Amino acid sequence: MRAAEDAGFREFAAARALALRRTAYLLCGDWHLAEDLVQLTLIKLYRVWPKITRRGPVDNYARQVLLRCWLDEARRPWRRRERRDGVVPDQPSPSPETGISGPLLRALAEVPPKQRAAVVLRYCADLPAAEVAQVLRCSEGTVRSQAARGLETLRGVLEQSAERSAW
Amino acid sequence: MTDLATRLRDVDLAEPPLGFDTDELADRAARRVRRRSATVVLAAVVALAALLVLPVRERVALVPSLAEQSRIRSALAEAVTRALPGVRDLALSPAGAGPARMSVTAEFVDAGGRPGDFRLTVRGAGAAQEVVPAGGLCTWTDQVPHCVRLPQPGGGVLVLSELVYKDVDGNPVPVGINGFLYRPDGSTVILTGGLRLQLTEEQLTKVITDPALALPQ
Repeated sequence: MRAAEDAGFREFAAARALALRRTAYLLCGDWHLAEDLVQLTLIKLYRVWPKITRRGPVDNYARQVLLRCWLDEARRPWRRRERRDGVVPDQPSPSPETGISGPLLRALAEVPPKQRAAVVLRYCADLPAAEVAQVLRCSEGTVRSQAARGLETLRGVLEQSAERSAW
Repeated sequence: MTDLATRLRDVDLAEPPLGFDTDELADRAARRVRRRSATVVLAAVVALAALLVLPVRERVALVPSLAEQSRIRSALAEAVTRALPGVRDLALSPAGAGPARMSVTAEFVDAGGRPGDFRLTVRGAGAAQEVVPAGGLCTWTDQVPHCVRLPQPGGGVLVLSELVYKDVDGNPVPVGINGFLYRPDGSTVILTGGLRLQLTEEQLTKVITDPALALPQ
């Protein structure tokens, strides 16, 4: 990789790491896993950086890689049952349960993976349906139906949890 | 639905600071790419070196095809018929095959009505390493009292050895004559006598030196 391409990658990584981690967190619901997914995504991007930058903007490609990393990880849940680095964090992770989003985030975790991906990209990341379709490698119609089903599932989960708290 | 979509757009996350340095990550990624490229180059060099250094005969050693095995059996039948005039009830059966190698068991009744048998193994050059070199034969003189090396026209050597074992009184009992043909191209033919009627040296030589009993390279 040439020096200019390397510099371009570093700039992209510094500018987009937080946004990618936010998307990763919304998908997986775990900050540690979200960071691992983003690092894996960036390392994978580095390998193909010269090629993908020639094709145009890389944001959607990065999301696509992130999504694949997460789906791969989701298929191997036993890998994430414990922290294997043996390092205790200096400060406790901020709890996502604080504030108005807590129940919403917990409910999101119960939406099936593909519907969740459509909901996160379409609504949380506020991407147009065409871009989500590009990331999910499907048609815009499929994105709309998956997102709608995802919202339905989410609403159902929220209603159930509201009923449980009322009891 | 709209309300839920709006809540998702406005989702409020208490985000912790990024736990890794993006520059350090880029350095790590660059090291991985360099290491990967070096591994690919090394693998290509090793593969190329293997192709150039290994002799042709060691590169590919395929099990003889069924058609090839059938051809060898037919050639053996003709050779036996020529070497033992009046032979009857000749039965040839496969006795195993492997890379560049096949064996056949032959059972027959000679013109005098005596049953006999032997086993023939044909090896291509690719299986030459499985055979004791010609120089290693005729050295155990107590078990092999009769062993001759016969240079063949066009190169190669035929070794005929007669095995014996000693009975309880220490008297040698002949077991049979074995033939080992080493061709100049590295291919071999081995004929080992069975427990019944043995081929004579002349008959064995006629069978084992038949040029049709050869596997392709």
